[in-house]
Amino acid sequence: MNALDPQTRSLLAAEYVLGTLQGPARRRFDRWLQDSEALQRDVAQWEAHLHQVMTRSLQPVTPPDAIRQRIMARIGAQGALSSGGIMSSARTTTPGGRRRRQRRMGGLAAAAAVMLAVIAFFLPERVHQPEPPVVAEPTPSPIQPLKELAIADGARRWTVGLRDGQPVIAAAEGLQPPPPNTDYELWWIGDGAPVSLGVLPHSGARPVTVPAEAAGLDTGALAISREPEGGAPEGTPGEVLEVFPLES
Amino acid sequence: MSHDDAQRLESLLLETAQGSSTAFATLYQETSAHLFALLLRILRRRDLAEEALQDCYVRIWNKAKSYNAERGSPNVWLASIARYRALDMLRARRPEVSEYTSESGEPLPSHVDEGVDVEQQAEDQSTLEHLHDCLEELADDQRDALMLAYYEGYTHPELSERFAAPLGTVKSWVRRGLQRLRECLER
Repeated sequence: MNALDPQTRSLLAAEYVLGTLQGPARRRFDRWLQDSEALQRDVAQWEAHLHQVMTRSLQPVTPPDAIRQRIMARIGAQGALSSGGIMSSARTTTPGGRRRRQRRMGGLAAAAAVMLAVIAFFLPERVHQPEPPVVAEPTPSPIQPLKELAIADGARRWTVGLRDGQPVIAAAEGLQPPPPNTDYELWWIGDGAPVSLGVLPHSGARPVTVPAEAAGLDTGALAISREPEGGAPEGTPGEVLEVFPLES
Repeated sequence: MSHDDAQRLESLLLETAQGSSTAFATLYQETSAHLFALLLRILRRRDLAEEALQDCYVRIWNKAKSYNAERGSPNVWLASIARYRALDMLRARRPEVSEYTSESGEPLPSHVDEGVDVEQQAEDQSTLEHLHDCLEELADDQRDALMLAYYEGYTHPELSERFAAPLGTVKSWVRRGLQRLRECLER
C-alpha cells in the first residue's frame, strides 16, 4: 500500500474519514495508519476539510445548562458546579459588572470567531481572515405563512410558514425577548411523544426541521412551552402555554 | 487571532489533560454550542443530542491527553469526537429506522431534504459568503452521497440502496465528489 501515489493515498484517507471505506479495506488502512506519518497527515487534512465544508452552515446552539452540570458531576468536579465560577474563569478579559447573559453571549461570539479562524487557517492564503459573524441577512425569499402562533394574549407572536418549500419559524417584528433565564420552545405533537422543534427565535427567522410525517405542517398540533434558557433540559415540554391544532 | 485562539483552546486541552476541571469547564463553555449544533444535525432529536453531548465531553475529559496539535486544530478534534459518537448512536438505532422504512414501503424521505435545509442555512449565512462554498460546486448526486455518508454514516451499499443506483455508480459519486472537494479546497 505504501507504493500508492499521493493522490490515491489521499482519496483513501478521505473515504476513511467519510466512513465509506469499510470492511477488510478499512482494517488494512487502520494498520497502515499506525505506521505511516504521511497517511496520518492525509487523515488529519481530510478531517479538517470535511469539517470545514460540512459544518460551515451550522449555527451554534447553546445546550441547556443542566447538561453542563451533569457532565461536571460525571467527571467528579463537584466544586465546578456553580456557573458563576465558570463564567468568571471563562472570560477573564470581559470587563466586570456586566450581566451574566452578556458574558455568555461574549463567550459564544468568541467560540464562533474561533471556528471562523480555524476555517481561515485551512483555506488558501489568498482568502483573508473572515470578519466576525455579524448578522447581516441576505435578501431571503418571502415566507408563505401557514400558522400564526401567539401567547400571552397576543403579546408574543411568531409565524410558522414555508420559505422555498422549507418550514421556517419567524419572530414577529419588535418581539420582546423572553424574561431572564427563560425561553419559549416549539413542539410538534403527533401520535407519540411531543417532538421539540427548538427554542423559538427572539428575532428573525430560522429553518425548522420537522418530523417526516409533519412535513406539510398540516397534521397534528404545534405547542409552545415555557422552559429554562436554552430549552427543555429533559427533552420533554415543561409548562405548555398554548396548543395550536394544525388540521385544516 | 486564529493562531492565538487555537493556541488558547490547545492550552485548555493541555490543562484538561492534567486534570484541571476549571480549564475543562472553560473549554466546554467555548465549544459546546458548536458540538451541540453538530450533534443535533446528525441525530435530529434533542434528547439524543443532549445524551451524546454528555458522552462527548466525558470522553474529551478522559481523552484530552491523546490530543496532538500536529494532527489538526482543537476544534476539528473535538468535532470528530462528536461526529463519531453521534454516528455510533445512529447505527445502533438503525434497525428501528429500517422498520419504519419497510412499513411504509418507501425509503425515508427526510435525509436528502435535510441536505436542502443545510444549503438553505448556508444561503442565509451571508457573513460566510466570501468563503468559497466547495459543496455547491458538486453535482447533486455527489453532494447528496457525501452528505449522507458524513451526517448519517451511510456506507456504499446503503447509498446504493437509498438511491436505487448500482454500487459502482455511487462509489464513483463519492470518489468524484471527494476529488472535486479537494481540488476546490486547494485552489
